[in-house]
Amino acid sequence: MDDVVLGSVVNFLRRVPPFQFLSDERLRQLVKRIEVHYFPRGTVLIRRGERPPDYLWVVVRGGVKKVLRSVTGEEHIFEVASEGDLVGVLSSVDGMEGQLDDIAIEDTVCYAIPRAVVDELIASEPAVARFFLGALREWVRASLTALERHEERPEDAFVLTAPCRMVARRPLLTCRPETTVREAARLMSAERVNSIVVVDEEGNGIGIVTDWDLRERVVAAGRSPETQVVDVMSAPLVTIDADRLLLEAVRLMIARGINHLVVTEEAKPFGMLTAFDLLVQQGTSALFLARAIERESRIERLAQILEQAQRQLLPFLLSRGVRASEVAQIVSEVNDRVVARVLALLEEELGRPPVPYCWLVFGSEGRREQTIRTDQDNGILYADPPDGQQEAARGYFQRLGQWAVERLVALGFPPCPGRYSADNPEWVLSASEWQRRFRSWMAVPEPQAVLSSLIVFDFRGVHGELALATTLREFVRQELSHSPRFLFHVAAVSTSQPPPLGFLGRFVVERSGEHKNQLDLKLGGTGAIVNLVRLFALEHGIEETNTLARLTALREQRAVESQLADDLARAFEFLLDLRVRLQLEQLQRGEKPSNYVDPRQLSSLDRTLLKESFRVIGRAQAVVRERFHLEQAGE
Amino acid sequence: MSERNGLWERLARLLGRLSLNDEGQRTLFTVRYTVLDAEMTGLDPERDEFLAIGAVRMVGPRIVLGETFYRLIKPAKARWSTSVPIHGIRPNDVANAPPVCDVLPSFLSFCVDTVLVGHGVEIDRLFLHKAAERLGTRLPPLLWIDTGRVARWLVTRHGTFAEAAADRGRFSLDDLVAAYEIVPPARHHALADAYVTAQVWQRQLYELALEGINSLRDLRLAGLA
Repeated sequence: MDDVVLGSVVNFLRRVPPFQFLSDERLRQLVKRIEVHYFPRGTVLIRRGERPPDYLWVVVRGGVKKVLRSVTGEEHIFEVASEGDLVGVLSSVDGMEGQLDDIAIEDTVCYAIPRAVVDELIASEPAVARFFLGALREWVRASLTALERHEERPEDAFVLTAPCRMVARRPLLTCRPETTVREAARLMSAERVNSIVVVDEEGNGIGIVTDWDLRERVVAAGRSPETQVVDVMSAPLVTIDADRLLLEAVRLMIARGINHLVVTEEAKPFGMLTAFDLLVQQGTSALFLARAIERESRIERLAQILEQAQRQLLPFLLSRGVRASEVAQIVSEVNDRVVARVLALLEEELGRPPVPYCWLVFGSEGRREQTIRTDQDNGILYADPPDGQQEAARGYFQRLGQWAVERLVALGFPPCPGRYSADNPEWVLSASEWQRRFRSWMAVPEPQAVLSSLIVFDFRGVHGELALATTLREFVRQELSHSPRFLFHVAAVSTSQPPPLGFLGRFVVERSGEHKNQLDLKLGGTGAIVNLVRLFALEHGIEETNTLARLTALREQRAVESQLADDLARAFEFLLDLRVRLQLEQLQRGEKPSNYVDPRQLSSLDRTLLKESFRVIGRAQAVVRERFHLEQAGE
Repeated sequence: MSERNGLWERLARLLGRLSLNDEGQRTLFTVRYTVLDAEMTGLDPERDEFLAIGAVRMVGPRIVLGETFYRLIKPAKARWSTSVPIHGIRPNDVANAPPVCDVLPSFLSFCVDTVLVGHGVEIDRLFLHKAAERLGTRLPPLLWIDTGRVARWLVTRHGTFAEAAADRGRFSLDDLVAAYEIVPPARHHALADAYVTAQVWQRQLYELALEGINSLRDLRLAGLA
């Protein structure tokens, strides 16, 4: 008769080991002695080293993370107990004190079984006793593995997120500028390395001599082996700090087209990082792809290389724990190389450009945040031609834009539906035309015009005379400093999309249609953060276009409260990562990548982090609304 | 009847122990609660009667599954037609059930030394008063907490204004169950609803604590008890 409540509990426990081993009758008796507990997010159920708790908990809803905190405060999450998992097994079995911190990561409901009841069960039910014994053994195994993993740290660190220090070859072979080429070559072969760093008296690196330099600049050029290395070395030295990530090293090598990178510590050469070392690191190598792109002169081969990048590189990097934001930077490097290659080939076909120009990319490409290739957003900025040559120049660059966009489409970069691309004459402009364009956007701010021009504010020069882009950026910065009305409109537009979080922190999902029960990770998520951070960056004259780099700069200038900047950065990383992972899964299933996700299909950890991220966005939007005296959206 | 009156005296004395003067300082996390829900033939305390009373025990924020109360009640006069679709209790179901005069004392002894909690509990209170009156006695002084009013207070006091505006008038048990993502074992069953209400109260206890409401006295000062 009163089985409605007990019955629902019995039905739940019937599926949960070790309770599933009990007879119905036994289970019914058990249920009458248990309690229902609730833990708000962040509650500590068991604290390491403290008196064991009085209960064994079965998670009914929510999640509890089991965490080991190292002396340095680093957090190792052993596991997350979710629906049907037990919390407090060890303590209830033999009264062991808490071994880990058990913390609710979201609002959690548990059935709580008093320890006395657990003791009786173990004494009277052999199956239950075996189960707990097994759990004990499992825990010992898990903690041993975790310990091993911890000790293997240096090995474990052989991934791209490790600092360069880990992989740099030491000691570094060095010589002085007056050393002869003969002596340098002897040192290199004795040490079996293919480079030597040239240092001055203070130990500062001033250049490098590689195998290639010896071959091309000495042997091929017919120079004497008695030549001093200072005459044949490559200078200046390209260096990277030992604490930077290997990932950044990869990026730098791709960007500069070099094979050797000197790792420095406090600005002094410390070790050597070679492309080969990184190739060994990576298996599928971003570097390898970049090299292939560099050499390739046939468009159709480039397409294959890019395809490979998308199919292999992305999943590979993500699976190795590289963050989506970092993957995006590598992808940008690769894409930039492709664009540069395409343009270089076109310049050969069309003849030399009449005046210097710079290829611009906007939007996510401009911000280096593109992972899965979306549409192309690009344009051309060319130096003001001398009088009488304006039309000829315009014709040349419009044709260049037209052809380049066509080639890129053929390579798999989808065309831009909004026509923000260089095949649209509107985005092929001379330097003074660009300046007039930006000035007009800022002078007559209508919300619609603001909205459609915003992605152009994220422009970045990719190929050609990059100084043209720098000059334009400086112009925009100057103009913005006396366009408060424009900033006001940007603020309004940038806060118009609230995060999809509603009453009592519930997700707001689509009620109907193709995306029923789903929410848009871009519109109210990454997009909302990009908009907010762009606003801050424009307001404070920050030249960076990358969202995370903008946040770092804002933080350094103290333009944004550091806690908020950190929270936004974390939220952005998380949302971008989630989006990319979901899109990769969709691609692998042969579906079109979309920005929608059904929150119920996420793990409880992801759901929690997602809510957290949305809350941060809401907070940041409130800050902006207050600063610009904006009304709450929809009021 | 004298025996029953003796019981009344005793119950009244026990329940009186919860008078606010000395017990108001007790923290909400140690108080014992009776979370109740009732089904009636209709909503008019003058004409309608109890059909079922369900209640679960909470000790602070812990719901004790072994201490529950559930009785079907046979009404004196039948007024069925409109309410059957809601609670699903048909005349047949209560044909052999005890009358309210037998159920009320055992329910009140279940409530001894506890604070009563219910969703929209005012109506339950009126019906209990009326039932006691019909038995020629009075209900002992009890402390009542309405989870519906607590919900509204929590949102209008600490929710953002927009949230409150958007959700004005959205504090039915169904809304709270959805908002708190509670899975009800059944609906419109007095015991199941009492259990669900207990889970709402469990969450509200923590939310009230965040607002600095920790004791029965605080609750009364906020106008919630």
